[in-house]
Order: sequence, then structure tokens, then C-alpha cells
Amino acid sequence: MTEYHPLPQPDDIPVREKEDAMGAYFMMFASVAIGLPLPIVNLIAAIVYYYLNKDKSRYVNFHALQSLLSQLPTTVINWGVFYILIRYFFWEDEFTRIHMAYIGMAVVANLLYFIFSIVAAVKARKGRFYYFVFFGSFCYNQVYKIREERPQGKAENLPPKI
Amino acid sequence: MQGRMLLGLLALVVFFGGIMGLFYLWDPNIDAELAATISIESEDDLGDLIYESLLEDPDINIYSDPEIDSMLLVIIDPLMENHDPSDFDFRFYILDDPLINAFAIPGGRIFVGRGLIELVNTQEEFLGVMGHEMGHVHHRHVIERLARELGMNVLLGLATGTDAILISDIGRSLLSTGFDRKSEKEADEYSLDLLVKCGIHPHHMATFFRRLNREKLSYNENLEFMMSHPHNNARIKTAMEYEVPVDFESVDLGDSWESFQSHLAKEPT
Repeated sequence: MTEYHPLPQPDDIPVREKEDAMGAYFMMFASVAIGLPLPIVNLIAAIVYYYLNKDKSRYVNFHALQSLLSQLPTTVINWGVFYILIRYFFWEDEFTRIHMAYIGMAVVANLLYFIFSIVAAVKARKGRFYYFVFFGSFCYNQVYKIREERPQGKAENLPPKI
Repeated sequence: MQGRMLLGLLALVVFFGGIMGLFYLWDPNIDAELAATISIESEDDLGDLIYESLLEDPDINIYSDPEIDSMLLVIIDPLMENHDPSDFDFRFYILDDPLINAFAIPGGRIFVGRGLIELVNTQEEFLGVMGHEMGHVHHRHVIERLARELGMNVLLGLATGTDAILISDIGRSLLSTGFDRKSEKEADEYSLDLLVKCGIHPHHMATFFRRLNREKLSYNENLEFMMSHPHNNARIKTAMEYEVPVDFESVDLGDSWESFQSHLAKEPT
């Protein structure tokens, strides 16, 4: 049976942690805006933010990780849009119906990402958890699952897995 | 836990796949496609109305010199002789306008600005441009564009000719060449095919596109023709790579172009 660390309740979480957790989502907006012409800046910023904040507390770690992972699909989708537009403007490729459908889907994905991120940021500021579909469960599992910790600096020999 | 997570992932994939599918099925050009169902007669009627509104427009001056008309008929004759049998009655008009522009209205009337005639160096190039406009008419791009911009209901209502102001606005809007890339490609292909039938090498079309590019670089304020297309390079390539038949022989068109140009230059503006 998998065991998890207890979730902190809103009143137990320091204001500073709440703000850091909220910042994880709002920081993504700024970096997405910067990264839009070339959708890579936001990803680098998200990774940096995650590594800077993940050790502050599990609460901050959860929100920073959820924010980072949830923007991965939109970033990949935006790469596709970028590729289509480059081909259209610089290689004079034709703009087909499937391209239009893809860009339409990308617009919806970005809008949803923005809306859900705002909701998550507001909740995080209040000391609440907000679980995105798939990413929420995944991040909770990553951050709150109790793992066996080895004693620091002490090597341990283990038998092979048979 | 893992099962639910995978289910969530699957739900996301299905959701966004579905969104993409919906966008794929949604057809914003439905009116443009329906335009193909408009009869040639209705398109002709609409063309007549637009033509009449252009005649009455004080800002649009169409040359009405019989000598120019007859010279133009001689110039354009190779296209008339060689184009595919068409339901459209192609007619050509010259506008007293410094704009480097050519455009077609529904029904097959094609207008070309004096500025374009001054820019074009040879009859072959001119026929290439006119063939391009004929291609727009042949492929029904003009009526499609109107259907897209106005909607089918408005377009069909116009045939009654009751809304003179709207018809005049449409005539003016057609002055600017604004077709999508696919339509321009189709019109180019039509023109290149027609040129070869006329015994004109497609290289002439490439020469003209190169000159257009140079005019763009010099920021010629009169340049209107093909301004909606940021790059003519693909079109130059298509014209250069066009495979002419093995037995292709270029036809000498004579010097009627030079006399036409000089005659037009003497016309009072």
C-alpha cells in the first residue's frame, strides 16, 4: 500500500510558500508571453523556477512541478504552430485544412492552459490544492509519496532483482 | 492510482484530438464552395452590374478610345485563340490609372491599369498577366471571394441589382488583388498552360515576377498587383521549372506591343 505525506491545510502554510506556489503559475504567463515567438524560453524559465523552488516545501514543490509539467503539452503544440507558420511564411508552404485545424486546437489548448493556470494560482495563494487532469495526480504522487530514504553518505549493497 | 492517471492522460488526448477534429470538420469556406453552384448566367448578370457601377464611378476612368480597343484586341488575340472553350466571355479594359494593377470582375471582364502596361516590357509578359487574371475567372475565384466576403444570401440578392451602393463598393473592393495562395497558384498554372499553347515560353512570366520583386524593393507606391503575396520567389521557380513540350516552338508576336505602349503614352490622362 502506497503511503503519502499528509497534506498541509491552508492555515498551516506560511504566506511566503503560498506566494511562491502562486508565482509558479504567474511566472509561466510572463515566460510564455516572452517565449511565444519562439516557444522555448518559457520551458527554460519553468525548469529554472522549479529547481530554485522545489526544496522550499512540498506544497511549493507540488505547484511548481504541476505548473512545469502542465505547460509541456502546450509548449510542444506551440512548436508545431511555429513550424507551420515558418513553413508558410518562409518556405511558401500551403496552408491546408489540417494546418488550420491544428492551429485552432492550439488556440483552445493555450486558452485552457491560461484559464486553469489562473484558477490554480488563485487557489495556491489561498493555500489550496488544485489538481489538473492527469498532471495533478502525477505531481501529487511525485511529491507526496513516501519513499524509502537511504542514510546520507552511506553506501548500501543490495541483492540483484530476480 | 496509475490506472486513473493513464485514464486522465487518455481523456486529455481524446479531448484535444476531438477539438482538432471539430476544427477540421468546420468549414469556414462553405459559402465559397457554394459559390460554384451559382450559374454562369447569374455571374454574368452580377458582372454587368459591377461593370456599370465602375463606369459611373468618377474615380475610375476606363479608356474608351476605339483605336486603343482595337490594338488591345490584337495584343490579346493569342489568348483568345488558344484558351480552353469556356462559358465566360472574356473582355479586356484599360484603366487610366498609374497603379500597377490588374483585376477581374465576375463574368469575365478583366481590367488592367496603365501603370502595369508601362511596367511590362513585352507582349509575352502582358499575356502572362492577362492569362493569370483569366485563370481567376476560369476557376471562379472572383465569385468565390465575393461569396466568402459577403455570404451567399447577400450575393444572390445582389443579382436583382437593387443595392447600387453595395454593388459600387464591391466593384471598388475587387480593385485590390486579394486571393489566397492556393487560388494564385491555380491562376498561375492556368496562365502558364495557356502561354505554352500560345507558343510563349513560361520564362517570360518569371521575368515579369522578377521585375515585380525589384519594384517592391524600390517601394514603388503604385505597386498593387500581387501585393498580397510577400514572396514571388516560388512563382518564379514554378515558371522557370515549367516543362514545355518537346516540340515546343516559340512564336514571334511581332512589335505590336511597342506601338501599343507608345500609343497609350500619347493618350491624354
